[in-house]
Amino acid sequence: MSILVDEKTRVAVVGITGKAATFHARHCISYGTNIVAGVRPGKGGQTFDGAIPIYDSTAEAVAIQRANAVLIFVPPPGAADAIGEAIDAEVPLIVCITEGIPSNDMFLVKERLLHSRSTLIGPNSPGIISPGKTKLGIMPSYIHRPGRVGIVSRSGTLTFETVLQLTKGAIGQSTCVGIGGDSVHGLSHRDVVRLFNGDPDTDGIIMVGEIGGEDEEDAAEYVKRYVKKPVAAFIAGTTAPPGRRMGHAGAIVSGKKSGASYKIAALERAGIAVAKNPAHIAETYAAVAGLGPLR
Amino acid sequence: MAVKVHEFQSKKLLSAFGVPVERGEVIFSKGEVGGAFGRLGAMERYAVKAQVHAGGRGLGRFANGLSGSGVRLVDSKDEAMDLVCAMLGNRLITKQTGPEGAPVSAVYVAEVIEPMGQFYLSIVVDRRAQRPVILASAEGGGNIEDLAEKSPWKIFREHIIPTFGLADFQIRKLAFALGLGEESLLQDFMATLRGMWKLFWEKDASLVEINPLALTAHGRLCAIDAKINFEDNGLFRNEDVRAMRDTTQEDLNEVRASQFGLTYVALGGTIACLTNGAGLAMATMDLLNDYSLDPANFLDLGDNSPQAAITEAVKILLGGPNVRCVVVNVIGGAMRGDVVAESILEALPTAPFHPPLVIRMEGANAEEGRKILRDRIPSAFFADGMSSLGDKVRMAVGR
Repeated sequence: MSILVDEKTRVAVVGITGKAATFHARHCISYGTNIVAGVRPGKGGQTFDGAIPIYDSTAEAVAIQRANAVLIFVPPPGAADAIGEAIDAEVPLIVCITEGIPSNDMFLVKERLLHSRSTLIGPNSPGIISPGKTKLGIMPSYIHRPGRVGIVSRSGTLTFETVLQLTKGAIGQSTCVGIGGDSVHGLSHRDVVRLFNGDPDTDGIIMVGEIGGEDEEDAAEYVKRYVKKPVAAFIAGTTAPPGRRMGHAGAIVSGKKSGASYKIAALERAGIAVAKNPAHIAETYAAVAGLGPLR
Repeated sequence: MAVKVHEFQSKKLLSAFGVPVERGEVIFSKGEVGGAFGRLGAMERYAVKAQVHAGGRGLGRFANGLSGSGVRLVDSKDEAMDLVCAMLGNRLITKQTGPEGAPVSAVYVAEVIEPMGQFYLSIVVDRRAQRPVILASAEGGGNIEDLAEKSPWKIFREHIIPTFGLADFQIRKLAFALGLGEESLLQDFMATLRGMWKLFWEKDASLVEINPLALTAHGRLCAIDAKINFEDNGLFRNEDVRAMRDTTQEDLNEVRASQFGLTYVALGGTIACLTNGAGLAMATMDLLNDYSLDPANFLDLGDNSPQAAITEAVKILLGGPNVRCVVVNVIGGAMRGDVVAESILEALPTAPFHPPLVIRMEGANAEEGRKILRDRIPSAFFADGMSSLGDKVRMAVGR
């Protein structure tokens, strides 16, 4: 088992005729992802690579091909609309890769999500992969290895980094979820940690975070209360010059102290092993999971 | 990165959205001085403010000749006019600009308001609530971060549900909390908050801040200082905001990079970094710092950049003043290793000198990319992961 997706997930790719979407849809197919439809308004009736039917709307892809997940590649001006359309079609899982959606559009998406049956991953996300089963995203396939560690991350390339380290150390992954780097987004660290905690096929969790926001602290609180599985983490940006990345007023919203050291301290208080250095993420996990030194 | 605008632009925008601001005129050249002061009319005192993006203007100093800071209060019109002329074309040095200072190509002249009370108002994104939030305090005028840390109970919060918009009852709630509930003040307060929200929403702002909002001797409210940032993601539909960008206030290389859709931040160290993804870029920086190596920059190539953009990025890195080594740390999803390699080769001949290269490449077509670089740049160092990257950089710089 894995979380959110498996080999039976029926995927519709929205915006499938775009250049990046075409590239990644083909890679997903060759990985074994069950892509059952494409969506592109105005191109309904055509096919993708001569095999996959394209529909004018997400609702049709759901009704005719029984798609239960969408993978969205629509460019920023129309991306929030595409998410809204998927919520309206009651698609259970929505994965949005698009980078650059205005926050104001996402605020409206979030209000729509509140009363829906859908779960959103992203936007600005590398997607989700359950190694050996399926991938809905843009991650390089070869770096993964099926296994029992769950990864949740805000950063695409840092997820790949973590996977590379694990695979090199012969530690496989159950599911890797990129929740995306935008400030207004779908699933949070905490949501995904909760799912991993309930997944019998996930033995341990790696959380990859960044400076800014409080997603990681919220997840740590959950870990402290409910999670018995080993949890390791890495927080990127501990040496970033203050004020360059984090907005001026962002930190005062909570009235709490911000900054990498406070974030790391909050994680450690929850019993999470925090890698001091980005080269040691897998090593840190192996130590806390009692797997012994890595090869 | 967010787009920043000058004080005079913020005031103009706020005023256009109905927020009360003080009387003021912006002046770009000496030829405009007479006309601007004519429109201002006679005033008791004049605030003369150099327009630069950096903070700390009131404590700054000018590069040549002129004494005093970047914000001056003067009594006579002649003195104010002379000051404007002396500031224009000068450079203002503040704690945020570095020793070279920022060019002053505009000066804002405004009436001086003696506040009877100072308030703080802003609209920002509350990431935890996933909604915009109004922050308000009766203790404005000072540093809001300090207030948030020392007396958080003095800051009031009101979340905005964008599908409903900002409701009058929310504005009243804040007005009473700040002691501005009187009928005469409430009108100005309503106009201020409604205008701030409308601006935030319509122009895709990431921050609309008024600090201080002054209570005047005439019982009116007035935004004395304001700061507005705009979200990059909203620029495609806000041409007027794009046009407000003043690239003379920014680092030349940051501007060059942004024209190619890349995020670049100069950091002043000696190890240049070519990386993709903000997370990996930050992690690379963290790793170098852990090895006591000084990163020269933060660079996020993204995952979809065309070859021309990557080539430009390499040129920017190689043109850095103190660069002793270039680190390539790329894990491509869509971005192909061979394209990155070709971009590097294309940029190399333009470089004034050739610092050693340390390459770590994974992801799409990484093997092809590594092979191209190995064949064409025999002196390059190759790291097979983050763990050996630091050591390889140390070898490359001879430490």
